Amino acid sequence: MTVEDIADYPYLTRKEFVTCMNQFVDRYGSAMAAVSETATSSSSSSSLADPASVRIVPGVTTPYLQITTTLRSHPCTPNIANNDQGDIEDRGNESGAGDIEDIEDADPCPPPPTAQSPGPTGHIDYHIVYSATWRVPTMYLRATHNGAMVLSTSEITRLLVSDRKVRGAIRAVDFGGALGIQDHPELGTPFMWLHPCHTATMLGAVVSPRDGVSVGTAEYLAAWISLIGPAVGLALPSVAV
Amino acid sequence: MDFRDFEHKAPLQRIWDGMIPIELQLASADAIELLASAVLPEPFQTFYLLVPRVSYFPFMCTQIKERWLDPMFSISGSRTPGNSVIKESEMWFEYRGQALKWHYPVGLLYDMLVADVVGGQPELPWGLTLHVRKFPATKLVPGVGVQAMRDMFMAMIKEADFIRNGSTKKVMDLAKSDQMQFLDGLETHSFEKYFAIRSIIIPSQDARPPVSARGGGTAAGRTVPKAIPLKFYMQTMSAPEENERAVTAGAARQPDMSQFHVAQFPVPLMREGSAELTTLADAFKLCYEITGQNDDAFVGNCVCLSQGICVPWETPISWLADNLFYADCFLHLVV
Repeated sequence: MTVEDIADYPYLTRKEFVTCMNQFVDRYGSAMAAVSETATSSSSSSSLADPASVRIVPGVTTPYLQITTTLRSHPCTPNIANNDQGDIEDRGNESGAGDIEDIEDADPCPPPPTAQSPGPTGHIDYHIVYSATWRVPTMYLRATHNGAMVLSTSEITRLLVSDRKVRGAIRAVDFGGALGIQDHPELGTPFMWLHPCHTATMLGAVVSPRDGVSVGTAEYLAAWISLIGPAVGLALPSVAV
Repeated sequence: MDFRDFEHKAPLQRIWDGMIPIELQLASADAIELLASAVLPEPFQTFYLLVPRVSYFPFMCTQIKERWLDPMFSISGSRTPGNSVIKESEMWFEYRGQALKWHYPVGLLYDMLVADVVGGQPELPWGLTLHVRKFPATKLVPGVGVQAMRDMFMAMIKEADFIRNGSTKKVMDLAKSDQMQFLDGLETHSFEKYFAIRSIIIPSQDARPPVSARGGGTAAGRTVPKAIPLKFYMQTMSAPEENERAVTAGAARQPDMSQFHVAQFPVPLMREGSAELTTLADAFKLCYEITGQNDDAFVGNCVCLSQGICVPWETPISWLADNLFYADCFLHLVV
């Protein structure tokens, strides 16, 4: 695959974004769809252990990238929207992984032993949509947990981000925190959203033309996800280049 | 040119002063739950208020609650005190079955949803239903309230700043007191307070198009923006040809919120590679990537509405940006 240069890095044109998406799916699509054999439950984020479906959705004006993965949390994680703690529904993902038999618990239970891996309690949709204003990709996401859609930003952060420091940093960003709720630009319904105003700065810091480190269309989305993914619990598997 | 100059102030002031009279009724399901009756007590059956076009519904909720709902409950004596608790975060508005997006300016919602705003007899006062229960969190952004509205609003202002000036510096550099004054001006609908701060973010309003196409600072101290923040709200059917047929057939349909597609695109002031000003038609074509000849005719058949005014397609964007903007510094154009 030819790696194309980005004319005005870190900013993308719509066309460049579409190229980036296609190349990302080529490179990472199958790796993300496969179950990772070596992932452990201790510190890795949820998406490495589970298969994730990756596809490009046509959209009305611009196509966008959708990554769906399983949400895992400890079975006793209280669900603010739904008081029914015993009711855990596995919405699963398109690859059909995840078994729930080992999670079922009739009573509110004490915190599980740390060695136990969190069970699947729902799923997360990540939509990566191009923003004409900021000229970078923007992250929109929506999660269902215990059968209901997660509706508050603090709840989402708690479920998706295990590192306390990162959680604090997200909340500290001006005007309500880095994570907000906005209408999805293509679907028009409310989604969680990461403010894109610092994306360009972060991406700019990754390259070093002097040392020959640059990011072309093939690497752009992977670089972007590794920078902002931790804020929303999304990580990428390593792939052979 | 100072914004207080009368000659240039007039259109701005008139847009700012634009109001929509609203007639509110309480949803009967909520009335039954709270008052054990679908019919409200005599003086409280409907509530009238005048809402500025440029403002937002969450800023009205406190007065609706304090001047209508609370007195109604204390006079009529609701079933049990616990049941009648009304939270502003659960208040939402509905028009003919459509839940109204609370983060859209009131004038925009009216232009989008009320039939016959153009050349007809649009519905006035605008009859809306207030709900205080069962907030539709999958359709409307949850957590509505004054603070959430402020956050949304400031996010739009940051975006407008970025589009116009290439960075969010002007907004981020505002002193806390300036920011408070800006929001206060919006919430209390005070022209002076709002514009005093706005002119920091968007310096000296000049209603005339720039004399020099080469940009940069001009003698009047006006800086030419990099691009104009605007959003098109286009009522879609499945294909442009169908749309055209419906328009020429004079079909008057009840617009549906979900049919609108929102497209946002920063539009440059000048046409590319020329000294001419970008017109509204140019902006629309850029945004939707329309290039064919048939599509030109399609644009001609559409009507563009902003601030309740039918805007001719040849209007330069720069004039629109200076005069028809909403409080969030964006142009919201309904097609």
